[in-house]
Amino acid sequence: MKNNKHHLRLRSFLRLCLISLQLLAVNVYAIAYCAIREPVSIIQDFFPSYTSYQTMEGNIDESVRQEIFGTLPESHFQEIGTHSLYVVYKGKLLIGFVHARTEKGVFGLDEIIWVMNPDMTMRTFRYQKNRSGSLSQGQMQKLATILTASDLTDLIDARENADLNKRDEVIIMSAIKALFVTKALWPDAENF
Amino acid sequence: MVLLLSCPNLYAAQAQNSWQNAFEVVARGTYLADADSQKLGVLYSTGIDARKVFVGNKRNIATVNLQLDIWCTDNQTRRSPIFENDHDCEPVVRTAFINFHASGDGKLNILLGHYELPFGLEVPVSTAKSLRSLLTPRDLAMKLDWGVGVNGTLGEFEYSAFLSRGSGMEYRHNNDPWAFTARVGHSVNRQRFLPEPGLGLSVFTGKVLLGNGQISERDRIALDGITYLNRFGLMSQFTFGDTDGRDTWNALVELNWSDSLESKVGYIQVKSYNEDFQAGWKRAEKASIGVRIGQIAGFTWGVQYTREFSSFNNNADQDVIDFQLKYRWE
Repeated sequence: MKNNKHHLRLRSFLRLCLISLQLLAVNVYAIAYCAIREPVSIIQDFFPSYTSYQTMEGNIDESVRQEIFGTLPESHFQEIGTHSLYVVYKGKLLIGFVHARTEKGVFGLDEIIWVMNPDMTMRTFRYQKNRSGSLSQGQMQKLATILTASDLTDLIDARENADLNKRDEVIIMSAIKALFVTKALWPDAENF
Repeated sequence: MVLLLSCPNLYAAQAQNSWQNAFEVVARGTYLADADSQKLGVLYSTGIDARKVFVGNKRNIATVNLQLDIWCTDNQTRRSPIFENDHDCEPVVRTAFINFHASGDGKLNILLGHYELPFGLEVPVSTAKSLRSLLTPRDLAMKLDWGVGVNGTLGEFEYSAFLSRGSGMEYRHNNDPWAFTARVGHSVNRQRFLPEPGLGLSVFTGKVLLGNGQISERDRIALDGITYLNRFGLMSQFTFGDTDGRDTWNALVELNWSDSLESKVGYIQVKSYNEDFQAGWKRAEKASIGVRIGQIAGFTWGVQYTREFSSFNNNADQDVIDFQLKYRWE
């Protein structure tokens, strides 16, 4: 009786293994979903008058993934998969968006939290995890000038024409990806 | 410009808040070099990981998380108490909880279900299905428990308090166990193998039901911290308290190294467990060196060598080699 129970469970286990292995792998060392929190601290800091926020989750599928890698070859495989957008409200009024991106840093992974205006232009950013060293005040000012109120066109233009060092470029690329992914997954976000 | 032009083509990819699902398959082997028999044991597990954020009226309503597994043991000397014998398979509910966003602004949530105890480094660090372990299982005699709690973020800090059954993985009420766990620490955006830097202060009190059916009374206070310097990270936790009337202190210090994608991580860990028995203080120490590689999409593998210098039962030193292969599909 005990053996039958064991065999039945082992068969279930093997069946689940086979189903899993037949599917295409997309994410490397992806963390369990229970590990995902929300950047509430950032929301509280940049939107002190907010009353609520709403989490939107979207998946980048294979075709989108190929387009991102085609147009942004510097992208890495951790950037694909599930993405979250936090829509911030004051009462019923949409007052902004927050989106977190993981970027390849100098010594490890950086996590940059992007804060966007209600019209989907950039407002500012903050490092939630910074393994690339701190930014000087001059660098911050230069980036603020490029980023503030910029849309996707402005950022792409800045990337191609502005005098950027490698670190600046990583941050501007991250901003481009943040807007690109957000517009791709939630084209009507401004009307949420 | 190519990027701009391609944007409209992506509209098809827009998604609603549907269930996010993942499958995992893990095989973990443990080799006890100094054991007399059953030197090599293997644990296989597979399962689903599902999450959904329910939203409405311009706010989050609740987040649901489910992690349902089947675990199979094969010849493991040190196997989980959920197994009945050396060759057994059991269904396991790893996490199953709903977090109600009570205030809607993230300052107050109410959680119900089977949840990871908010204690020490387990809050910022993800150890699930990895070879690396922290102090919590030894300190609290469990890592997950069934219960109800509150959590939220206030400025730079997040808090969590959890009142639970005290029986760990399975809901059992023999001898009426219970536990209370709470932690205040720097807010983190996600649990990671190498998480965000910060500090945390945790407390625990309870009567915990052990695998052998006995109750263990425990009180703990713990201070944990994480910091980085270039490619190196330093993690530590110091715990003080009481185990069944015996003064106890435990410590963990880890130095880790990673590449810039954190797809190759190496670590050295030292753990020290200390209890004041009737005959005096006893110490058990472990030192581990491990590596985790995740360069191929979906696959992660790890190897860890541990030297167990002593134990409270005065057993001889033990060398343990662990290895693991994990595949996750999302």
